[in-house]
Amino acid sequence: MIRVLDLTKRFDDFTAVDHITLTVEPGEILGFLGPNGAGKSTTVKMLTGMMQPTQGTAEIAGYDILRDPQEVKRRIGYIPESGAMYESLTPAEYLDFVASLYHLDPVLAEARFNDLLEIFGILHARDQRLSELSKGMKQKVMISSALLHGPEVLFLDEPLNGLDANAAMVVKELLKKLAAQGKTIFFCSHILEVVERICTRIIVIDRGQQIIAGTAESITRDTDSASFEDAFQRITGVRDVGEMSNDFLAALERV
Amino acid sequence: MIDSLLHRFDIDPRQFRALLRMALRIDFRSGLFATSRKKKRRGRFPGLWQILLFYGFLGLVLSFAVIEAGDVFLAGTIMMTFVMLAVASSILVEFQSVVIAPEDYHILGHRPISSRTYFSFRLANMLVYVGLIAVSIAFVPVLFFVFWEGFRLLLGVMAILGILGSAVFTSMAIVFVYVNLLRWVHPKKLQRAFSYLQLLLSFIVYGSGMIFSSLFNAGVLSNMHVEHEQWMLALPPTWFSSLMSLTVGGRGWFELASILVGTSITAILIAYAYATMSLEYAGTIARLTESHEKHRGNGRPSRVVSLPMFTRNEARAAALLVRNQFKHDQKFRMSVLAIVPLTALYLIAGLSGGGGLADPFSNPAEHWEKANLLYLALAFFPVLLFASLGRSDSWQASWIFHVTPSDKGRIVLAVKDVLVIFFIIPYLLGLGIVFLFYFDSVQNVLLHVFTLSMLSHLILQVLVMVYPHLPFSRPLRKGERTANIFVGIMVAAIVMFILVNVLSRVIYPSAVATGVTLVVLAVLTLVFERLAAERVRRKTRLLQFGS
Repeated sequence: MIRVLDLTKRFDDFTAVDHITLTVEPGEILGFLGPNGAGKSTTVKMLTGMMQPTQGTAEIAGYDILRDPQEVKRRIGYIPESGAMYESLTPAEYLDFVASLYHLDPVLAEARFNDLLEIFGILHARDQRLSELSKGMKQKVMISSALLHGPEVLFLDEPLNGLDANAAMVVKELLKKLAAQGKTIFFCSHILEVVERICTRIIVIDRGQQIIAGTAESITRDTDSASFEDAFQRITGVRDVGEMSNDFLAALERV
Repeated sequence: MIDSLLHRFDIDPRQFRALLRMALRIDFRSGLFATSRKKKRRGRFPGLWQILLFYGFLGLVLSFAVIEAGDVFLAGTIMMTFVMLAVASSILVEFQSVVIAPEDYHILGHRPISSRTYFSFRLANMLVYVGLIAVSIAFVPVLFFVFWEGFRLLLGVMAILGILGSAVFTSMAIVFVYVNLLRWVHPKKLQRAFSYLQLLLSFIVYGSGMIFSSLFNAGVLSNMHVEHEQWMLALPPTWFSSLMSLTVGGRGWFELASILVGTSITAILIAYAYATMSLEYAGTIARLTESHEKHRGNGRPSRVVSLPMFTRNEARAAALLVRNQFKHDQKFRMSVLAIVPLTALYLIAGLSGGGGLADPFSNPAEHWEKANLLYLALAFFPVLLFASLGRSDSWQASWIFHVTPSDKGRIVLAVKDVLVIFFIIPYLLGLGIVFLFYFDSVQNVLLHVFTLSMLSHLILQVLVMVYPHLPFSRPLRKGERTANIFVGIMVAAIVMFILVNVLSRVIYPSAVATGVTLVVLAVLTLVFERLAAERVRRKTRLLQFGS
């Protein structure tokens, strides 16, 4: 479970996250949406213990992020948008390394990550360096590393980045099944279609503030929109996309 | 046993081992001891042997000082000083990231690793390397200690303990300075503050190195006898060389006090690191990552200003890239700032020689004898700058050179020209002003400065031809910069020795020869510019990312 209370992050006079309060129950997949720079990644960084909030707090899997950050970190799995990993290592070495950080039994961990790599179809690459793998293959390793220790709560920031269509389908199905097992999933993405399809609830933020919350259907209905995509565009105050693309072309034609 | 010891210090042994193993693996593969996969098949760690041989060679040079020195204490002090300087410069140039770079915080920050475990592993990672560096430098001198005057095994053992102590003390002292700065300076100002600290520490390290080498060059070692004075207790090398004195009968108050002071201060630094730094470390690293996130646009876009003389196309792109990387890339800025003090110190040393500089046209022998350090600086400054321009953490962004219709030859040559315009010419103008005070006429100053600028430019052209690379197009490698500094100085010394002798003995005494030389240099410059451009174009067709 995730409980966030009045979470705020300020950088000097810039407020990146502005008094966010929310709850995600076990078994829920929360879609956390917002335009670029809305404060999604900053929120996730605070919730994963990587950044200290300026104000407010949060409880993850029953532990306070300020008082018990280590306990929180033991219970979460995180896929960062950056996809940062030690690229000189091989997938096997990286996953073994991650397993050690969570004190997993090495034999069990190896069996587990071999299974995960095989399911993703990259077992043949387990001893190649990460730097030699494609973006999608790296992302599969990243997903494996986040799931390896069986976390109660998952924070996923653009987890489908670079995945091929088949792997993306597997991951979407997997997330639904993990939620069905009672895991709590915090899902950040810009792919509205995916969010609409797999998230049980959605929160949209803009300029650090929560704008709207509900299911995709309720948000579409409440904003009198034809689709969730239209609703998102309306909520976040984006101008007409046709008009914007015309402006773009005009800018390129400037002499 | 080690596990229970680590537990006692609140360090998670399993995490510590996993982190250290990972860090060493990475360094062996992509860092200090990097080797290509092809090479790996031929030998396990050829890179390791290369770097150890390099420092071993420095140790061989050092062993002449050890033989030359009158007694064990003096020889030991020289060795400890050398080890401390090498370790300090290595940390300054390569390992400041151990305490100040939050780059792997994005990978590890959300893992359940305590800050104490995190700090300990990073420190251990650094100590492994400085230990290896120290041992490889001291290897040959220690052999001399053991076998030179009969078989003295205990002296060798104490020498090894001493050099390890020196390496640990130096590392902990620098870490102490860095981490305290992290505590007191606001994260927003930290990146700049580290640049200034780098500059200051580089001055201290290289300055000490020069004092040491001038003592050695002056040939005073063989006649030097060191009286034990109280003030010498303030010199860290003596703390550890006193360990060696113990084995040859020196068991007076000085040796005991030195050892006591050395071990106490090292222990205090370690204890301080354990008690204070490690707990604050994760928080500090997190604050550093935050400071990166603060920079958001909040006003009108600023205008991109071209550098003078680099206003169009590839030249403009190259100049803007170099300038902005210097402005924003902490590692690049610090690598440049590590070279500046070395150059400045050689300049000061060159100018402070007794009696001032003579005019090279009227008294060439005297001029070259006194000014050789000036020219050494003139040669190695561009060489080292050129080397640091090749590597960057953002090397993958160099795809832009390969997918745009830019002329890569022009880019590489433009980078060379940036170095000439913004580094070499200001340096030469400064030298010209100094020469005005010593030379017989303004005409001689102009002629000499002009000749030197042509020579410097030629050196850079040769470099570009031999070693063409697109700016910031290859990944950083730990250890390489330190090695570059040493190799750069050696190569520059050889090149300048040859040029200086030819100029002073053959060319400057004759006006005709001087005139012909200038014409030849001008022609060579033009020819080399074309050849370099052509070679760069040929090479860069094969240089896709170059790593």
